[in-house]
Amino acid sequence: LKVRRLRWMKFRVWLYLLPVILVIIVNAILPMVVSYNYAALNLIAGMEPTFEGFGMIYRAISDESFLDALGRNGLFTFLVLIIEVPLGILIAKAIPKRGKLGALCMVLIAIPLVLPWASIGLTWRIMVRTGGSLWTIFRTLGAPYSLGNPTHAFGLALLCDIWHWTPLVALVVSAGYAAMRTEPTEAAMIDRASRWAIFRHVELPALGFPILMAVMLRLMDSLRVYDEPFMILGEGPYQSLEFISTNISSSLDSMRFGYGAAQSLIYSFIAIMAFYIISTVITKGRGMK
Amino acid sequence: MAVARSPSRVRRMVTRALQTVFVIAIVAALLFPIYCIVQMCVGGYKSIWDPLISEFTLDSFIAMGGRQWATGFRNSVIISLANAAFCVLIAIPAAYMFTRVNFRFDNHLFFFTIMQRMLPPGAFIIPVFMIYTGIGLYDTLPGVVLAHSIFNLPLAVWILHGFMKDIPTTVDEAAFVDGYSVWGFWRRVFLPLMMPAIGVTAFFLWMFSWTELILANAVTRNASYPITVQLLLSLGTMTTGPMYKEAAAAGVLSMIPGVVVLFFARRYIARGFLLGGRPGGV
Repeated sequence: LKVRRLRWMKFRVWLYLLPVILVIIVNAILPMVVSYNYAALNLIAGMEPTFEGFGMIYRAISDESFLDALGRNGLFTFLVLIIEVPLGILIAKAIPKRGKLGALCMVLIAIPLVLPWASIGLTWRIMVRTGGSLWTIFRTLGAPYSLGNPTHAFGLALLCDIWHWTPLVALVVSAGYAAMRTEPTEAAMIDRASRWAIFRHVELPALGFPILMAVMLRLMDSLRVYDEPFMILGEGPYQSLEFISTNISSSLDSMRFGYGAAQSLIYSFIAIMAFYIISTVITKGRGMK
Repeated sequence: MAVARSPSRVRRMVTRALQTVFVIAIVAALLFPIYCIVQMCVGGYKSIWDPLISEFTLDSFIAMGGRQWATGFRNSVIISLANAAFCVLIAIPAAYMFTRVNFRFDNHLFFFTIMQRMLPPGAFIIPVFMIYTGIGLYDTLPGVVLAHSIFNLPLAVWILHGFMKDIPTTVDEAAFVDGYSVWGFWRRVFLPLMMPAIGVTAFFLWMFSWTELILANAVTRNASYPITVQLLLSLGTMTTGPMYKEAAAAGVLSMIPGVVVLFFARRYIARGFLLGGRPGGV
């Protein structure tokens, strides 16, 4: 009887997981197989495919523009994390926690999150045009924005990302604040602990899960960044905005399907490794689960 | 005593004032591009940037009529709601098993599920197009819903897992000892307990599905364009003034459902974290 129950338990586990597994098969495993098949071929639309084995992958690794895109994306992700996370926590700490005012603040702050990415692109594109609002501001500040300058383009993409996604960090962390018990903080205040000490030793540990969630979301999404920079400036002057996703889809746009597939395989491998390392560090080796 | 306390009171007032200024500055900075887009659609045609809206017109909203914006809106609403519901529905049992039972490959499967969110959307365009055409989901609303679960399902599993982890297994055991059936346990005990967390998750899923563009563009042609793809198309023909004003108007309108959802979701989001994240911490 015990064996039968155990078997039923095992069956139930897979029964519960079945829908997710089915979706994963359609959405991740099949595309990977398709990509893998492509990656071994030198497949250019309209031409006879030739089998290359690992040749395409080798070619992608030694391609300078792909390596540049990787490095650029790494830098972008790093800057996004070190700017957005502290800023978001600071905002969450500063806004009123309760009452109508707090609610109003939260809704206003989170508006960038619910704007379709296409209209964000549209807005920012027009803002930096000659005569646009941001263009006017930059000129008034004495630092005119130039469409042809790669550094400016990168900075603009970063600024847009900060504008768009810092609210996410603030939203998640302020929800954590709202859910936090106030007694430990009050006790620490009575003990005359400094503000910083309270934040560091009382509030920060209590905010563990919200902050982890915000960091993970920003990490995952900034590594696959595509929409906003592309909508604003295309690939930017001198490929200054060519991130991994953009790089892959420009290969696809020029109909080099095999090459694009090889690139996405390499990228997936790197992303898995990066994600594994970072999640191990953040969770102190306990694993994601 | 009063003398000793006065400097700290002054300091507190200064901190308070700084805090208020900071919040106002942040809100202003965040709303500035929003103001720009509003100005773009109601301002006149003379210049791109007209801070005080010297010329007010609603032409751009009128011009929207007769085009496909309404269909786009309807599609977007259906897709985003259906996607949030679908992902939450299938992620709940999976997350439950991940938190409650140790089985072979559980860690690997969990990691693989989450990892999907990191894959670049660009890499999915071609394979997803081919596969969805093959199984007859190309250019259908269910197709877009399924395509959006590429990045939303991992998120759903992960967030729900994070919250469920903090519900002690004693809750389950007590329920079964009390004689609840499996169905009764889910309906009467577990789901009510999880409701705020489900609200948080659904909000995030809805948000990402409502705004997403690339995959929706890859699996639709005509019939099931969501609003984001409509916007993209209008950008392609943005060379003429009135057209970008129209796109700006669509952007402004597409913001409204977002703000409404945000308003109602806000309370749930805070309550969701009451459940997880070990409040108090010390």
